[in-house]
Parts: sequence; C-alpha cells; structure tokens
Amino acid sequence: MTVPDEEVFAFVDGELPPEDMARIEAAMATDPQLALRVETQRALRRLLSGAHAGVMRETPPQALSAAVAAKPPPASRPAEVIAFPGAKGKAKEKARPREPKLPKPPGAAARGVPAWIGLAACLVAGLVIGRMAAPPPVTLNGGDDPAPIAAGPLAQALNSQSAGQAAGPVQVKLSFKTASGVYCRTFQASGRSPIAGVACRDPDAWRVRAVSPAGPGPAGDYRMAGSETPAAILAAVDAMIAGAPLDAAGETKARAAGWKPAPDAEKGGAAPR
Amino acid sequence: MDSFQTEMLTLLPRLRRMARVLAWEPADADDLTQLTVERALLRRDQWRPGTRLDSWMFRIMRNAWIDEARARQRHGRVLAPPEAGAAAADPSAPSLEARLGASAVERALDALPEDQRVAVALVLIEGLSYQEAADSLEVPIGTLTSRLARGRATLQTALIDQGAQP
Repeated sequence: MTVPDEEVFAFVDGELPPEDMARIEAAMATDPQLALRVETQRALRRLLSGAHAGVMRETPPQALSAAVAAKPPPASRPAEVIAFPGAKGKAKEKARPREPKLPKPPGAAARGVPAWIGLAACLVAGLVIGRMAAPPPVTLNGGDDPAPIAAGPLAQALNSQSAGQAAGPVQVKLSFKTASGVYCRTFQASGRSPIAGVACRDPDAWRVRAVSPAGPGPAGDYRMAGSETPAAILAAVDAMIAGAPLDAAGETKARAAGWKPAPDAEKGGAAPR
Repeated sequence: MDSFQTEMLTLLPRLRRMARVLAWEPADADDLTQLTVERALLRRDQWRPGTRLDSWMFRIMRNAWIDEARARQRHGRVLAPPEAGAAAADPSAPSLEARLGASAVERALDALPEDQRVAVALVLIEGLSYQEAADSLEVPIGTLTSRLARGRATLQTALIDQGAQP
C-alpha cells in the first residue's frame, strides 16, 4: 500500500483518527520502507525537540517575570482622562477623549482615585473652592457642569508663558484656537504624578477642559516619555482645534489682547493658517 | 498575581523559546517576549478561560513579531557555515553532536522561510495540534499542514539525509 507523505506526518504527529493510526501501525510491520519513513520523521521530531533547549533551562530574566506580575489593569477601563465638557453652549468643543493607542504600563493602572487626581486638584479652583462655595462638582467624562477654573501657578502659566518655554512647575506646550475663536492651551504639570491637560480661555478665566496623567508610570521603564502630551489630551485637542496651532507671533498677539476670543471672520490676532 | 498571571509565568520559558525561533538574537527575542506579555495582559479579557493559554499567547507573539518586523529589519543573523553542519552530523562523534547538534538543528530551522519555520516550531517543538497551530497563525489547517510538510522536507534533507543521527 502507498502511504502519502502527509499521512506519514500526521501519523507521527498523532493527528490521524484512531482507525487510521492502527492501519499505519499494522502496515509498518510488513513494509520496511514505510517503517523507515516513519522512523525518519520521529527522528526529526526528536532533533527538533532539542532546538533552543538552553533557553528552557534558564531562569527567565527578572524584567520578564516582573512584566508578567504587573498589576492587572481593571477590565475595559475608560481612557485615563477627566473631561470637563463644559460650559454653556459650547457642546461642539466638547473634548472627546479616546483610548490611547500606546499600551499603557500595566502598573500605572488607576484603581480607585488615581494619584494624579491630587495634582489636578491643586491646579484648579473648582475642586478646592468648589466644596465651600458649593458649585456643581467636577464630573468624569460627562455631565454639563462648568469646567473648573485654573488657579495658582497653572493660571499664571496659561496667562503669561510662551509655549515650549521651560519654566516652573507648569509648562505650556501648545496654543491653538477653536472654531469659535476661543484660545486654548495645553499644559503639563510636573510632580510625583505628573499630569497634562488642556484649558480654554473664557471671558473670566482659564477653564480646564481635560486632564490626564502624563509621564512614566510607577514602574519607570515604560514607553511614555514625560515630555510627551498624552494621547487622550491630543485627542481632546483634535476635537477642538481649528486650523494650525499658534506660532510664537500669534501667541504674543493673543497674549497682548488678553486672550480675548478672536473669531477668524474678524481676522483678529489669529494664526493665518 | 492571579491565576492568569501564574499560568503565564510558567509559560515564560516556552515563550522565550518561541521568540528565539522568530527573532534568533537573544536580546531581540526577550524584547519580543516582553512585548507579548504586555499585550497579553492588556487583552486578557479576550482570552477565553478553558482554552489553551499557550496557543493564544503564541498568536499574540506572532502578531507582535509581524508588527516589529515591519518597523525593524531582522539583523545580525548568523548562517551556519557548511562545515559546522557536517561536523555536527558526524555519527561517530556523539559528544560533538551533543555540543553542536542542537545548534545545527537551530541553524537549519532558522534557514527555513519564516512561514514554514513557525509552523514547524508550533507543531514539532511546542507540540500544538494542527488545529491549535493553525489558529495561532490565523490560517486554514490546510495551509498549516502544507507549510509543515515543506519545512519538514527541507529539514530532513539538511539534518537526516546528510547523515545526522538523532
């Protein structure tokens, strides 16, 4: 009887139905040629079973075991961003945070109230003053409450700092205009749990539209560099920005005008692109 | 650590071995293993308990490798010089084979086209069934068995027909 190669392979791999396994087994007894083919394939399997065997005997590197043991992220956790959708009649500029694309360091997963919320709370008046004056509380990813007002060093940086200028605990990264001419700026605040966010200028104050943790997680050796704006904040900017970000001249002009809205129709101090 | 992670920890040596089959260079292989572990943890809700964690993770590794390979050329590959294979294949020198045999096998394996190499590794090294290996590679079972057959033919020529004894 002629046994095709594929069947010899499947026999050696234990992939044949029982009756075919038995048939080949029986045929081998009377067919030395078949027996040799089977033995050759068994020999190949034995040889291959020793391939890269050294790595099987080693203790895996500490970094790998640590990666396995990293704290599990909560199942289908929402994007690590607080959006303050905001303020009256500006639904169109609502920040739409989405899940960041880069894998998040598993150890940095937020459980309960994440540490970075603390720093966020220090920089906005809404969270601190809010409890006393009893305006609506800050909401997570929804709701119609007014966005919290930037306070202290954050307000100062948003008012006076040029984008990209390295100074103080808060750094402004990018300035841009929305479709309705309102100025917005992204910022990063350093600290033990650094945050990044985006704030937009209302007539009375800077209102923080979204904040998100920034920089490396507790494990330290993961991908997000501290200088990069988190994907969730970039997504919020994408949802609001009209045209290109302001250049230095546009920024200077806007600052001189007290960051008052400059709709494009008036050809005010906006970036011309 | 929960039971998912404990099981993953026991799989680490096999994951590292499969990474060597794909990436060859030890440092690259461990980078690939790390990426695989991170992705598996992020997607753990996609794993169905009761199914094999190993073939699920091999699939993640395979896809991670494809992503990585797009970004970075495979480099530093050492091809076996012909005489090394012959020395390892000398049946009169079992001790030599013991020292060099495995690496002759590894080199012959590494010389296979990647599709065949991975099919051979999943079935003949890792012991997955045809169905599990096909699932890991996201190909029909016929594609898997045909890659396996071609890989076997090449390996048999390189390792057995030329005189090596198991």
